Amino acid sequence: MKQTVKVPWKAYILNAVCAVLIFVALSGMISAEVIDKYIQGIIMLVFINIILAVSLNLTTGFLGQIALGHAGFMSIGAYSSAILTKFIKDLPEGSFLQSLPPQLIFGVALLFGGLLAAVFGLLVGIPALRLKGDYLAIITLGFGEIIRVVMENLEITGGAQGLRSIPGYSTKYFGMCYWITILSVVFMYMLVRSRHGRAIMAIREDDIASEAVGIPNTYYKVAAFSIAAFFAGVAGGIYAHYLRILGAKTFNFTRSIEIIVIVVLGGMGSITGSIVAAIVLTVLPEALRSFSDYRMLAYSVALIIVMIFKPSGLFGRYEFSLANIIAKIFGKKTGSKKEAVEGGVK
Amino acid sequence: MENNPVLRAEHLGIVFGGLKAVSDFDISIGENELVGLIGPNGAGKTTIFNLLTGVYQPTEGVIYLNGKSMAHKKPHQMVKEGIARTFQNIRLFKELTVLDNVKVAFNQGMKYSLLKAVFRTPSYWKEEAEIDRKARELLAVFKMEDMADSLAENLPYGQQRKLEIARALATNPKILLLDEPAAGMNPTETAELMETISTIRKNFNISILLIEHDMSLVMSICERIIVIDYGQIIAKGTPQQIAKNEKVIGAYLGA
Repeated sequence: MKQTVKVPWKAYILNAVCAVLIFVALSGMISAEVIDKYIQGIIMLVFINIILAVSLNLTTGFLGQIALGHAGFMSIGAYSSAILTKFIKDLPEGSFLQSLPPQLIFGVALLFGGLLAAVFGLLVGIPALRLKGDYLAIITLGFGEIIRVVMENLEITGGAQGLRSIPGYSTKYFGMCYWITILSVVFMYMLVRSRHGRAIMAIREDDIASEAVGIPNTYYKVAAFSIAAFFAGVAGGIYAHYLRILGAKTFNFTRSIEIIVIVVLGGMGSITGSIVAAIVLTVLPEALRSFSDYRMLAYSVALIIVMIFKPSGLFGRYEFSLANIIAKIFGKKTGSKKEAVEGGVK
Repeated sequence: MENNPVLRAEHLGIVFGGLKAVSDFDISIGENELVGLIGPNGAGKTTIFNLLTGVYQPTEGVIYLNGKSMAHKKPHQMVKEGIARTFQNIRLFKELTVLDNVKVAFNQGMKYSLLKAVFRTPSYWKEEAEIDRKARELLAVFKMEDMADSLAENLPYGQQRKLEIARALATNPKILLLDEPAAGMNPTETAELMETISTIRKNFNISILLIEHDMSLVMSICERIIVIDYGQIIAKGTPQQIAKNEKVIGAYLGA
């Protein structure tokens, strides 16, 4: 019998090289000031939206549960990481924590924000995931709103005034944000293409049958939900340190919908689709600025057109694979599976 | 065979609201036995399957798998103890490939953790290669290895039934519950199914409990038959005994 499972070194190396090339190109253009602050800001939003969309795709696309509270998890990550970095910044001069390299502080803060969001994901997931479909959508929607209202009224989050003068780490450590985005995507890709990913997709396809072949549905649902929450929290952290001002209105219901739109447009169940859609839907409104008043109209029309002609989203469940495309161009047949493609499309 | 039954249930019963869907249901299936469960529509056959696989918790009675009590066990926990099933209306993972459908069922025997998967440690590659080989072998038993990469929903009906059985077998069960496997099949497909069932018994050494309406199939392959009506056993015995039983004839003809 032919051996079909083997380490696709070629694809791995190819994608790693691509990721590095894009990084070099981006940072080169930034230091040569080809990319100004405005464009750099848009690229940062692209990073954030990629992490958000890819993580939401795990619950919505792969697990098949519609969740409308992603902005809620994002805000938990944003506030908690911002409070942490602000706390360290406001410490008296020369204290130990301040002497640490800011990259480390930033990284720990993002991790902290992500973990806290994941804990909330767990807390919400355990009761909420007993429901499915529209009921789950409503519950997660309600949860997102609760978070927003709580944030608006807590003292530690600055109440309705919001949180101000957050250190601007995201813009400063642009490269770090880039690599965090790449890592998030790689994490999801590896997760989905494993026995755990198969179990998650089996639940989407038929939860009665998955339970009947020995998949612990509740475990996987809650796990997927909190992993998605973790990455939403990380994205929120990057967002907080990019905006430098947080108001509770930043994370309202519309924000959750925006992420859902990216996932649906890219194709539910396609990671590369989410990436492409995140880029398109972040850049498009900015590119359409010259249309001024008609901007949102054009944006909506673009969405409607895609949904009419390709209801499964731009990519459906297809994953873009650089290795396969190169193999096709050179007319070689590959036995390698579509692995690790993220570098190729950014 | 009664000494060491694979599956045993005593006084099994379940009440939905005020309705006694199943009551006082006894069953004992020995190693490598093929037992048929028949009865008119709405008699409670599928309810019994749902009880035996943990989908419903019985309101009375206990189920034993290999002598172990299955009280309060969830379906996925019971699968681990060695029971597997198919469904009356096929439930495949439609948009996964044929191969992945089978691989999902191997999941409970696999060990590598989530982090090991993400970091693609050697144990990931080892287990994945192993499962890939096992899944293809299993498909080969059903002569489906050529379809490994097509989506389950694109298979013809008879093949979908077979895939569902293959998937159930991937959980490495001691007993297999088949819920109307011949439903909607033409005579050729039914004949092929009978062949499949005998292959399974030969290759996998397991017991089978079968719900079926196709009497010729039941009569020709089952060693014992249990007949139920209104949630209660009305007859038990060999196919010859059942064919002559007046209660059974009455239940089926409404006399």
